[in-house]
This record gives sequence, structure tokens and C-alpha cells, in this order.
Amino acid sequence: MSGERDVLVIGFLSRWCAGIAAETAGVNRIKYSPNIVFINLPCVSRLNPSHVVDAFLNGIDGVLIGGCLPPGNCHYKTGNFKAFKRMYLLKKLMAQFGVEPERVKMDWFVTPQYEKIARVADSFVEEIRRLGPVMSRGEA
Amino acid sequence: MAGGEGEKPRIGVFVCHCGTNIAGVVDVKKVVEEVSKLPGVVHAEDYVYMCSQIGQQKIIDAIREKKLNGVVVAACTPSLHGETFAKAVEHGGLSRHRYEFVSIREYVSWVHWHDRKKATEKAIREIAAAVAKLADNKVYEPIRRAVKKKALVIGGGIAGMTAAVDLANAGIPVVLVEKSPTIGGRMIQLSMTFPTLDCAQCTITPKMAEVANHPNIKLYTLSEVIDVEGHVGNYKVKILQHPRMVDIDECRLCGFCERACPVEVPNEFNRGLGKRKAIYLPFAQAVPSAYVIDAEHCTRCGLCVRACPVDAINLDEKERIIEEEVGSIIVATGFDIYPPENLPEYGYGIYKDVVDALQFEQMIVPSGPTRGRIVRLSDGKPAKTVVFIQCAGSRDVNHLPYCSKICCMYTAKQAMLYKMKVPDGKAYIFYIDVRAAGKGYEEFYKKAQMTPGIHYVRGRVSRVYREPGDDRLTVEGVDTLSGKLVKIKADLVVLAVGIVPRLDPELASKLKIAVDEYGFAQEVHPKLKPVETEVGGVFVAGAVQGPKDISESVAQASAAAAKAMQLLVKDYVEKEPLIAEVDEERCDGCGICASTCPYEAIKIENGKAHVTPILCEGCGMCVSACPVGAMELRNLTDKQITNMVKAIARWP
Repeated sequence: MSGERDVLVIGFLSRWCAGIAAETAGVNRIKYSPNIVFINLPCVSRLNPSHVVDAFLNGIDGVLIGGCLPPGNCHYKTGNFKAFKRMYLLKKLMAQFGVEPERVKMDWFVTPQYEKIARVADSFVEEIRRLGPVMSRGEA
Repeated sequence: MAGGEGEKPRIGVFVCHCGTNIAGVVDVKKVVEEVSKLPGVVHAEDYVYMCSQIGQQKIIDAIREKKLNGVVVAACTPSLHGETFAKAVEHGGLSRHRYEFVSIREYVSWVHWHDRKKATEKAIREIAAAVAKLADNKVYEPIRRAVKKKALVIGGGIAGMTAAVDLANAGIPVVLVEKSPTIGGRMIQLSMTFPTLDCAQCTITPKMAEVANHPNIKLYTLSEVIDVEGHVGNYKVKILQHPRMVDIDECRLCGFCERACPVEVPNEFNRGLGKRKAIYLPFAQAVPSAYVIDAEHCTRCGLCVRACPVDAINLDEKERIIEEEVGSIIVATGFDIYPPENLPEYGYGIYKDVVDALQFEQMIVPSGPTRGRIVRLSDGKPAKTVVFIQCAGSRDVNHLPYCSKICCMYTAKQAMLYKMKVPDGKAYIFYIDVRAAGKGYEEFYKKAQMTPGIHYVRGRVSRVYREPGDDRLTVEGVDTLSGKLVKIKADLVVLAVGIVPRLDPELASKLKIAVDEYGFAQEVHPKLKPVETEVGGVFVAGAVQGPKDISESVAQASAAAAKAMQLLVKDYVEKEPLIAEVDEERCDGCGICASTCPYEAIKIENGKAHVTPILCEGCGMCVSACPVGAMELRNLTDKQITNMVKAIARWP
């Protein structure tokens, strides 16, 4: 594979608000880029920053983390806030390792924002296309 | 049971066409061909409707014939058929933990119909991830816990009372929490009810007495729920009870205290039309039937204490916190009227002769502040012309975009009642369109419309003002049927204000129930699960879920009570065992997990972390917080997440 391959993005979603928003986007037939593949988690706070690093090592070009809005209204009380802190630190670390911190994006969704999830997915895939593939896939 | 540790994965993948919903976009044949090559997959097939009896049988047969120890179903969405296939898998002899659902409709075909090739690839990646995860799924026994056979009802209006009495009659103890000093809610403030013109108070007071006297109902007035812990079947609730300062068992309702009290404040029961003392009886039929001291306005002068012949008053009474354990919670906190102060164009708060609908109700009531006479509040003269303005706040993007549903009917009722009291009076009703859907409602509206002296004017009012030297108000509006501007001289203007939910956002977040954009409690499904919330064991009833009249509130309350009963008649609830687990060898007892856990489900004992299974909600927050990797989330381990990511990245 070469740098010409199309980008591949993983979206980790909290299965409550963000997950339901993604599902509702489907029900409403809101199209968005197929370059993003979602993994539903109970809560984005389940996500260890190392999973994100792992994703890049395996050739995933960008990671979107979709938590529930607003902070403090998390299904698990504080999960969205904790996830935010962890990813904030991870992005600082990524810059030090020379990986563009823009490859990680955290956003927040409430259930009725199904159009937003499509919009964010599209703009993020575009952003990752601009940055280009992270490395060739399947070598780590 | 198959799927134990060390066993080689034998996974079957079942791809649904969902008619053309999936197959119209995703190349299902290609998906089956590709996923067959995945490690661990020994069987893959597609079918037009996997959820059908035949489709389910295919899964059951394949489990038995191919000796599968894992099943992946790629179909619509787990919220629709997750349970369907879980049951089929169990029917086939596998644990539901050896099954994964992949959504290739909502997450693929319905959102990527513009790119079939990539949609197909994405479906394959999703399935590959599920197969990779499933290989490490273990089987766990469900966690069982006894159900607390008691219910909490929040709100003592008609909905809350109905739910409480229904449950209590079924033999279930009920804790009823009401914020104000008495139960009765909004309905007790009303004069008559549509479409039968029954006396509201006569209808509701027997219900109030039933609540007061029912051996299975424990009523806490002046109380609010301040804390909720736990989960379905087992909730620990903290109730804060504000001091009443009058002993409800001792009070004889003699009223000496009230006469002695020097403090006068506007009476909230009639929306400030009358006055009450700082020690007062909310209304004659209040339950509990006892006086109450308004702590905010009481000056602690002690005159009432001296006046009371039975020593029922204690000014030093303190608030107290009550703890209750219940299995189910019904939220019936009702509604408020949309603040008429927000509608200055209609003159509310500027002219005394502009009232809101609830104030008008109180003017009709014989025991009300005007003794049942319809008068101008500015000078007490009879109101010979009354203008009703409908949709005051409702169906207006600047106020409430939604229809408040009850205003058309209560305005028709109020106009009719007005005509009964003032036969020579004129009533004008400005409306956008009349919504009278309901049994007997259209007939009732027609009756109002046909009543001589009631004039329906289709159009909106632009402003209400007083011309200099005029003792009446001028209502300026447009009649859209004749296309003419209308000016009416009115003695009284009644605003048919809309309704807003009365659900404290803090209470909603403590209960963890979702609210919609207007603050109404969100039901799980508008049609099939109208009283259920996302939180197990928590139900909603009445206007807190959406605008509703009395009949609908009562129906919903009985529905919520029935749902709570379904839960409370069981001896135990089963809980998903997919919780956090400690690897004691790795754990060094640092306690970061315990401090992270929002449920206090982790304790450090003898230098090791311990998870209390029934408290753990399975969010996984502690897992990613553990610095030594000693914490794992069952069936969503770090290894499984990484394997899913790898599977997505490495295909093809």
C-alpha cells in the first residue's frame, strides 16, 4: 500500500446519547462518509488512551471520540468529563511524539443531534484526508 | 456450556438483508464470502429476514449442526432485535454472552447509500471487529438481587395520587413525596373540568382522602427527593422534609393561630389574587388537614404559639432527612403554567384586569378570592365583556413552539362558565385554530361556540392597552376570516397560558432520566413505551412527560403503576453481569479505581481492590484508570478493544 490509499477512521461512541444519535442518523437516512467505522462502548471513559495509540500503530488514520452531552449529565455521572481529561492529556503527548494531535477529535452529542454526528464524521474524515494516512496499515 | 476458556472459536456469522434495507446497499453475498475467511469463522450465511421465524431457526440449526460456540448477527440495530437474536442463540444452546450484534442498517446501509462499495467494506470491517471480540467473550452468570417491594411516587397531583392509590390497592407500600404542604396538585385549583363540567374539587377530594387514609401509603408533604442511589429494584432515596412547625396530629383547624398572625402575604393557591397569613391552611380540603407555617415569611413573633389552644405549634422544628428503600420510582411532578409575565404585549402585570387562566379559574370557584364573582380586579365592578386570548405563549417560536393541548378546551369551558355567571355578558375568544381531539371534546367546543354571547374570533391579538380616560382595556387584534382589524373594549382579559414541565433538572439528573429540549421527561418510545424511562424501574406519569389533560394523566398514571407492579411482584431482578473485575495478582491496592468509580462500587480491602457486583454499572471508567492493568471490564477487555481496532484496520 502506498500513501494514496484512502483514510480510515475509527469512532468510539458512548452507547447512550452519542450511540443513539448515530442510530437516529441512520433512521433519518443522513448520509456521511463510510470511511469512519464506529465502535460502541458503554462509556467513552472506558477508553484507555493506549487504545487510541494502538489504533494509530495499526494504521488507523484518525480517532473520533463521541461522548454524551453535557458534562455532568453523563449516564455514568462523570464519565464524559473523565474521558475529556484523558484525551486532552493524550493530545499533548501525541504532539511530543510527532503525531498530529488533530488526528484525535473529541466531540459531544445529545440524542436529538443526529445531524451533528454526520456533520462531525464528515468534517473529521476530511480533516484526516488533509493530514493524509498515518502509516501503512497492518505492520505493527 | 460451549464457549469456555481454551476452546477454539467456532463462530457463525448471519447477515440479514432486511428486505432491501440492507441488501439494497450492501453486497451481502460479498460480505458472506469475505467474512467466511476470517479466523474463527466456520459458518456464514445470509437471509432475507433474519428476524423471521425461519431466519432465527437458521441460527439455531447452525449452532447445533456446526457446533458453533459463537454467533455474530449483522442486521438492523440492537435496540430493535438485539434481544430477538439473544433469545434465538439461547434457544440454540449458547449463552447470550457468546453472541454479538453488528448494526449494518442504521450504521451502514441507511447512512452510506451513496457509496455501495465502501458501505460493503465497512460492513465487513464491522463484522470482523465483532468476530475478533467474540473470540474472547466469556460466559457469566447473571447477578441477582432481591427486589424491594415498595414504590416511591414523586408528586401528589392527580397523576401521582392515582399511581400511588393503584399501587397501594395492589398491596404494595407506597411512599408519596409532595413538595407543597398539601396534595391535590393543579387539579384542586380548578373550578370545573371539561367536557362534563364536573366540579374539580368534588372529583379530586375523595382521591385525596383515599391517599390520606390508605394504610399502604406513607405521605411526606413539604418534602423533596434530594438523593437517589441504586438501580432497578433497589433504590435508596433520601427525602428532605422541611419543617411544617405545626403538629398535623394535634392541629384541630380552629384557626386561632391564623387570626393571631400579623404577617400577610399573597396567596399562591389563587395565584396572588388573595392574601393569606404566614400560618395558614392552604385550602379547606387540604391533606394533611392541618395548618402550616410559611418559614420564609414567618417572623417568629410567637403570637400563633400563644393563640394555639392545643400547643400544636413548634417554631423550633428542624428539617429532617428521611431515608427510604424502594424498588421502583414514579415521577409525576406535573406542570407549571407558562409565566404570563413573559407576554407583556398582552398587558399582564401592567393592568390588574389582565389575568392568567389559573387566576380566572380561582375567580369562578365560589370559595375563591372574588367569592365566585367575575369582576374587574381594578375596581370590583362586574365584568360585562371578557376577552380570552388562546395560545398565550404556546405555538409561538418566541415562547413555546409546542401546543399545550389543554388550553382550547379550558377556554371553551371558562367562557361557558362565565356565561352561566354573567348571562348578559359577552365573551370573545381569539384563537389560531381550535384543537378539540378527545372523547366528547368537539361536541363540548361546539356547545361553547353555539352559546349566544360567546364569539370565537379567528386571529391573534397584537396588543392590550388602556386608552386615556377609559376604565376598560382595549384589545386590538385581527379577524383573519373577515380580514379586518378588531378592537374590543374589555373589562377583563384572560390569557390561556400554555404549560411547561415542572421537573427540576437536578432531580432529573439524580434520577438519571433524560429530558427533551423543553424539559419534559423523555419516554423510551412514544408509542410502545410511553411511561418507561431509560432508567430501569423509573416511570413517568402525567404532564411531566408532555402536555396532558386530566383524563390522560390518570390513564398514564395507572399505566405507570401497572409497570411498577410488573417489577415489584417479582422476587428478584437480574442484572447484566458484564461488570469490572480485579486481577488480584496485579492489583497493588493504590485505590485510584475506587476514587474514580461514580457508584462507590470498589472498596480497598487488605490492600486489594474489590468490586461489589450489584453496585457496578459496567461503565469501565476504573479499567482505563488503573495504572497497572489489574482492572478489566468483562467481555470488553483492553485486549478485546485492541483486537477490534486491529480487525477493522487489517481487513482486507
